[in-house]
Amino acid sequence: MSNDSVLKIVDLNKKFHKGTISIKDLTGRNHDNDFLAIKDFNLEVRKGEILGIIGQNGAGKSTLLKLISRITSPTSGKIYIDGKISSLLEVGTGFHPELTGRENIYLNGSILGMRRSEINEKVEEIIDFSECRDFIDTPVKRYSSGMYVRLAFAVAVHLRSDILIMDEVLSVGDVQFQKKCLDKIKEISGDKNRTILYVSHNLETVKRLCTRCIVIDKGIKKFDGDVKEAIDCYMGNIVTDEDRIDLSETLRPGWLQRSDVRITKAEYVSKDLNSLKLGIDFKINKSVQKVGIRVEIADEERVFATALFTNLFSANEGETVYREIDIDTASIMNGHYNVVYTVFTMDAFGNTVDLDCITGLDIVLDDERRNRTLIWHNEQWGNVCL
Amino acid sequence: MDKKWTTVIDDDSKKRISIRELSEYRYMIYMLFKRNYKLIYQQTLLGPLWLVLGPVFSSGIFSLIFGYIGRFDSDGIPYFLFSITANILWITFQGCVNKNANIFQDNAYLYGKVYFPRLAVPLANMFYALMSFVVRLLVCAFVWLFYLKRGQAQFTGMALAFALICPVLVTVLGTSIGMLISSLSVKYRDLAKGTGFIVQLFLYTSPVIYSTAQIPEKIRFLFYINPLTGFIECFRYGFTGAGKLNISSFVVSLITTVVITVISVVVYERISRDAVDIV
Repeated sequence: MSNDSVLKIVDLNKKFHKGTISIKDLTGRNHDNDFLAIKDFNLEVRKGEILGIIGQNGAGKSTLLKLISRITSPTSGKIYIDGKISSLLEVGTGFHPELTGRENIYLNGSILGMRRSEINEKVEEIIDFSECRDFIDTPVKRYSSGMYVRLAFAVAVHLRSDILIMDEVLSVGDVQFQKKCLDKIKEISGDKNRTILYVSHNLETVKRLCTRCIVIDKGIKKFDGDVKEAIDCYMGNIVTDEDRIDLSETLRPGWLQRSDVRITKAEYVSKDLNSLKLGIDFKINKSVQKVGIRVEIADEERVFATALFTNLFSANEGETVYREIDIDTASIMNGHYNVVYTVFTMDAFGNTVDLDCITGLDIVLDDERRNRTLIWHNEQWGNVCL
Repeated sequence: MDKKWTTVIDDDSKKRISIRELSEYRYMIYMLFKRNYKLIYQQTLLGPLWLVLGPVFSSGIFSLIFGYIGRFDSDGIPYFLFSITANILWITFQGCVNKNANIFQDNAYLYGKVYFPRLAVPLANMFYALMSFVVRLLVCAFVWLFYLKRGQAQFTGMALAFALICPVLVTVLGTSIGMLISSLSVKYRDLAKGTGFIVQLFLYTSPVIYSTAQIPEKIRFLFYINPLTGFIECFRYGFTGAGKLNISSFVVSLITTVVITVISVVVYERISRDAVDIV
C-alpha cells in the first residue's frame, strides 16, 4: 500500500436503467432493463500521474468520471480521494448567455469551486489566455462560438486542484488554440503534485500527454499500464472485441426470398487455438426440415473457405433453436476475416435453398503459434496453410 | 490501509449534510443569487421596479373586486393596506415554490456536469426571494405610512419587530415545499404538473383576500392547518395593528414549517445523489 496514491477505486459498480420510465417501475421490481455501465472496477492512481482513459463510445468512460467527480453515486463499491478534485466534463458549465464575459468568469469559477479571492487573483490571466479582452464586458450570447469556448477553457485551466478530471475538453476551438491548451495542460502536468485523469478519443494527445493509460470496454477495465500498449490494445479492440452480435433487427440482403428461419443472435462461446465454438440462436417462422448452415470465411477479396454443417435441426413454426458449432481454424493463417452465415435446407432434388443470410461475427486470428517457423505472406500464399 | 483520505464516496445512503462544505461554496451561492437577480431584469427598462408592480397591481385589483364590490371584511383597516401586506408575503411564497419546484430539470445542465453541495441552488433561490421581499416591503411601508398619517393604521412597536420573522419563515416554507415537489417528481412528473393546484390551494386557504374573522368558527381551525395563515396574520398584525396577535397559530405554523423543512432537506439530499440519472 503506497502512500502517495491520490485516488483509489474499489469494486465499483454502477447500474443504469434502459428505456423510458413507465408505471411498471413503481413496484421497484422492474429489473429487465437494468444494465451495468461500470462493472467491478478497480483502480489506483498515484500523485503526479497523468492517466489517459480510452475506450469506445458507451464503454463507460464518462460514467466513471461522473462517479469520481460525485455527480452521480455508485450502486456499490467505494472511491477514495485524497485532495481537492475538480472536473471538467464540459467547458463552460453554468455559463449564462445573458451575462458578460467577466461575470461568467466569476460565475463559472465559483461553480467549479474557486473562491472569490482566487478568481480575483487570476481574472486578468484568464482574460489574457482567452484572447477575449475586447469583449469581456459584453454578454457572451454575442460571442462567436470560438470566443465562447476559449473563455470557458481559460477559466477551466486556471483551476487550482490536486486532481483534475478532463473529458474530451480539447476537442474545441481552432488548431492554434488547441495547441495553446495542450501546452497549458503540459505546464500543469509538469507540477508533480497534480494528478490528471484525461479522457479522449484523440489518441495522439493521449500519447503526448499521459504517463499511463487504461482501456475501458463495456464497463470493465481491459488494460492498465503503458500508454503505447494501451493504445495498441484499444486499436485491436475495435476489431476483435465483438464476441456477440444481435442480428434480429439487421436487414437481410434483397435477393433472399425466404424468411422461414432467422438468426437472432450469434456468439463465440469459446475460442481455442485451433477452433472457435460458435453458438447461434435461430427463430423459426415456418416449419423446416434438416436445416444446415454454412459459415463462409472471406478476406478482402473473396470467400476462401467455408465451414459446412448439414442437418443441424428440424423445427416447427414459432420455436426457437440454439445450436453450437465448432469452426476448425487450425489451418487458417493469421488475419482478420469477414464471415457470412447462410442458413439453408435441401429441396427434393438435393439442391440447397437459402433461408437466411447475414454477415456475422468476424474471425480474428493473431496468436504467436502460427508464425513460429517463418513469416507467412497471406498476399502471395493465401490464407490457408495445409 | 491507514491512509487518510479526504473524501470517500460509497453507496451509503446516510450521507450527512455538511454545513462546512456549504460554507466553502458560499461564494457560489452568492454568484447564483446574483445571477438570478441580474437575469430577471436584463434588458428591461423598469428593472427591479417590476418586483413592486406585481403586488401593487394585484392588490389594486383585489381592492376593487373584493374590497369595493364584494365588501369583504378587512379587520378594520383600509382594504388596500390589508391586501398588500398579505400579498407581498403571498407572492414571496408562491415565487419560492415555483422557483424550486423544477429544480432538477432547470439545473440539469449544472447537476449533470459538476459537483457542488446540491443545497446551494435552493439556498441561492431563497436568498433571492428574501431580497425581493425586502424591496416589496419598502413599497408596503410607504402604503402603511400613508394610512398611518390618516390615522387608519397603527404602529405596533415590538410586535412589528417580531412580525418581521414571518417573511423569513414563509421563504423557508415555500422553498421547502418547492424542493419537496421537485424531489418527488424526479421520476414521475405528476406532482410537478400539479404545482399550480397546490399553490392555489395555499392561496385560497390563507387570509390574503379575506379575513379569518369572516370564516364560520366551526371550520376556522381548518384554515389554521395551512401554515401560511398563522404567518400572514402575525405579519399583518405586527405591521398594521389589524386583527389580533394569535400566538398559538404562529407556533403551530412554526412547528409545521420546521417539520416540512427537515423532511424536504433530507429527501432532497437523498434524491439529488442520483437525480441526474433519471431526470
